[in-house]
Amino acid sequence: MIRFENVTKTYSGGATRAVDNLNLEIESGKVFGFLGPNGAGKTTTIKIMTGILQPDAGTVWLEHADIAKDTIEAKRMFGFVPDSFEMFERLTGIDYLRFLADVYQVGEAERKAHLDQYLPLFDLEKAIGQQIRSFSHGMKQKLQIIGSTIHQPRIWILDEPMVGLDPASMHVLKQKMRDYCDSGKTVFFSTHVLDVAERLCDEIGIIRDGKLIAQGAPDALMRSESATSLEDVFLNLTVKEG
Amino acid sequence: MFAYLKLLVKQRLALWNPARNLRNAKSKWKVVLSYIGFTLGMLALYGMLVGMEYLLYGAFVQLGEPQTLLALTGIVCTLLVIVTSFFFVLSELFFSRDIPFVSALPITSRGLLGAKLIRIWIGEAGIALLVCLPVVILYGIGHAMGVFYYLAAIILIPLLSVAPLAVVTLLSFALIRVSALWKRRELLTIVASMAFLIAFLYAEMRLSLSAEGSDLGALVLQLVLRQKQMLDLVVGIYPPIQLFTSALTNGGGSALLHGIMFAGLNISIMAVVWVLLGNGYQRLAVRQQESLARLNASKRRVGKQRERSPLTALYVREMREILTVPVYAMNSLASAVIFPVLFAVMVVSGGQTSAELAMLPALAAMVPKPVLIAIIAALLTFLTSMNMAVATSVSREGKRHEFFQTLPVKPRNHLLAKLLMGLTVNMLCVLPITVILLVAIPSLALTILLGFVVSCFFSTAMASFALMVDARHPRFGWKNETEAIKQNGIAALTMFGSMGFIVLCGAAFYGLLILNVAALNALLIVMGIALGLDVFLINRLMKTTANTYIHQEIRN
Ligand SMILES: Nc1ncnc2c1ncn2[C@@H]1O[C@H](COP(=O)(O)OP(=O)(O)OP(=O)(O)O)[C@@H](O)[C@H]1O
Ligand SMILES: [Mg+2]
Repeated sequence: MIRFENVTKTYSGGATRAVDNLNLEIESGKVFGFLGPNGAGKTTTIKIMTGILQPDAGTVWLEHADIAKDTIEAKRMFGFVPDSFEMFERLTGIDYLRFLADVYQVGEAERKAHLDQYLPLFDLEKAIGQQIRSFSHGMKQKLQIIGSTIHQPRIWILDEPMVGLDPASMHVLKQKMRDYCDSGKTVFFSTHVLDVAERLCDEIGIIRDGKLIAQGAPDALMRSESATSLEDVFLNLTVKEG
Repeated sequence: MFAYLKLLVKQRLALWNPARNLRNAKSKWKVVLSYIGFTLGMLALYGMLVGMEYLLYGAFVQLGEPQTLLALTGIVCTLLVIVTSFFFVLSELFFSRDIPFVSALPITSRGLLGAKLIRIWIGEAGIALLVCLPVVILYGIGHAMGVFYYLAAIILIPLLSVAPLAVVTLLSFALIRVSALWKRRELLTIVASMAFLIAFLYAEMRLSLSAEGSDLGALVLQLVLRQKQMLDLVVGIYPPIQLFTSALTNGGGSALLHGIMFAGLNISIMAVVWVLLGNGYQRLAVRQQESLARLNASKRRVGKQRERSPLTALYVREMREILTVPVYAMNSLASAVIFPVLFAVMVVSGGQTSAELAMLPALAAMVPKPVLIAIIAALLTFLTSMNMAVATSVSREGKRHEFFQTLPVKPRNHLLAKLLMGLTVNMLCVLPITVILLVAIPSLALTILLGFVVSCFFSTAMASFALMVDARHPRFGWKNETEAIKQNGIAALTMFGSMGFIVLCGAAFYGLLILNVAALNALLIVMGIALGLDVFLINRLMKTTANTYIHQEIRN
């Protein structure tokens, strides 16, 4: 379960309202797709819920932990794939994963099982012993995806995870996101790929200028906007009215 | 080429834009205050330099050779360029992140090299001007020099750094070419750079100590008896400085001639290097980058993984970073390697230096033990204070700070891991020299060991302080690793502050001795201060600072 209560965040001393009084609740067991034009506030929202940014006002609940108060507990709750590739370039892939497993206190058997399952899935077995700076964009992305779930978090947060993935890896990722929810956990991801969102998500949120302008199941949204695709919904809501 | 140069300069200036920092800040007056504090700190440091030059000038006037100070300052600048710019040139030319980007632009290889060199030169010229101008002005006032003198100074001082830069460029090209032949080229780059610095320092020592084969004692005698001008000695280190000095101090035509000769010499050396290396530069740089990507393709598989505690994992990562990033390793561990090696070379090469060393134990025996302990402690602490590993440990996170923020780790453990890393690096720097001292002067073993222990109290306090400052004022916006560790003004300020603190403690110790406090008690008092500071700083670090640290936002 994820809940935002009246979350507001400004930049540049109040000049930019990146997130404007956001209220949002996502139940466990759902894949939530977070959509919005460039600069709408998606990354900012995600940074607030992962404890990277402090909101000016409001609270974010991850399960029963308030990220501002029960910080450590809340941070144990999620796994996070950021939108950039600022990584430890000189660590090898396996050292990076080991670091994460140690920090999240994952037992020996569990981490081995996780790696045995995911490395072949994402075709990283050969490269994993090399330094991360020799990785391509997609490889880095896949490494972060593997790392973010090493502790089997209750909530999986991904910021534009499809960027740079090859079709096979994209397929695996979508599959994994689905599996994740079917086991009662929550997936929260932002994306610009609307047809993926339409097929994959149980619920969609659309944000513009920091405000949530629509929320609901994809077909419910299409019905209410009398559109035939999520793309139409998105364009209706974010372009025409503007 | 010039468009690219403009980009480089702009990028550099943007880092310093106060207006932008002000706009993004949460509390404006804090930013303003920190700018004022920083400016004052810098001014104070510069004031100290100017003061020192003023005193020196007085001394040289007494000796009747004020022009020698001009030459000396010029030489100091030249040496400064060689030592400080070596790593900088190396990383700017070959390890910079913009190489793939600019390689795709329609700029010739020569143009690229030219732009990069000019950009480096601008920085070096600024430093040279800052260092030289006080002396130039003092001399100018002292000798009622005219406009042409100042004009010549303004033109010639920036040129001081041109020839050294050319030499450094040549060396870094050679290093990269040679290292291309090996597999573990990064390791080689570290080792070769260290070797270069050691060789350079050693040559410098030999040269300045035994110029013209006479030994030190005789030299001092000659100087005292005024059979020999100090100027000759100074010029012996770097002959072209003669032209520089006479261009400034002689009047009329000969000054002009010498000035032109000095300028011509510098520029032509650089021109030769530029023409020779320019065409091949881009290819070499790109190849260097490509090989970085292929590097260390060890076929290590998942293997067995023992579990570690989060704190251990953080600590191991910190240490690994220091040891595997060449610039970090060179900056943090140089003193661990350089001093022992220098010492060994001196002892092995024999001659007068080792004879003087042999006198050390006898000399040391005459000093009261507590005083000796204090001196050893001060020296060791001084060694650790030059270390930037801990003072930049938060800044070096860079954009990855956000990654650390998402980890379920107590904020204090982040800082504790960094502090432990800093203390480990301190030990790596101090232990070799302590062991060498122990071996060299076994009769003073206990004294040396106590000195080592006292130094630990001080270096811990200084590491905690440096970490505290960095956690409060991190500079995340670096583009390459050299920038991360070398161009951190606040960390540099902290370093000078720490050195000042050692001097202050030394002064306090000395003051207590003058006040007839027994040496042992004086030592205990100063040590007590350090211990109190340790407790206070670490306590604060683990509480208030840890919270500040975890909430630092990256502004861009
Ligand atoms: N560090 C920052 N300083 C100032 N303004 C910022 C900062 N980061 C983001 N912003 C501003 O906040 C707003 C929201 O940005 P955000 O990165 O959250 O958008 P986004 O929805 O993730 O966009 P995209 O789809 O391009 O990733 C934008 O107007 C942006 O200019
Ligand atoms: Mg974004």
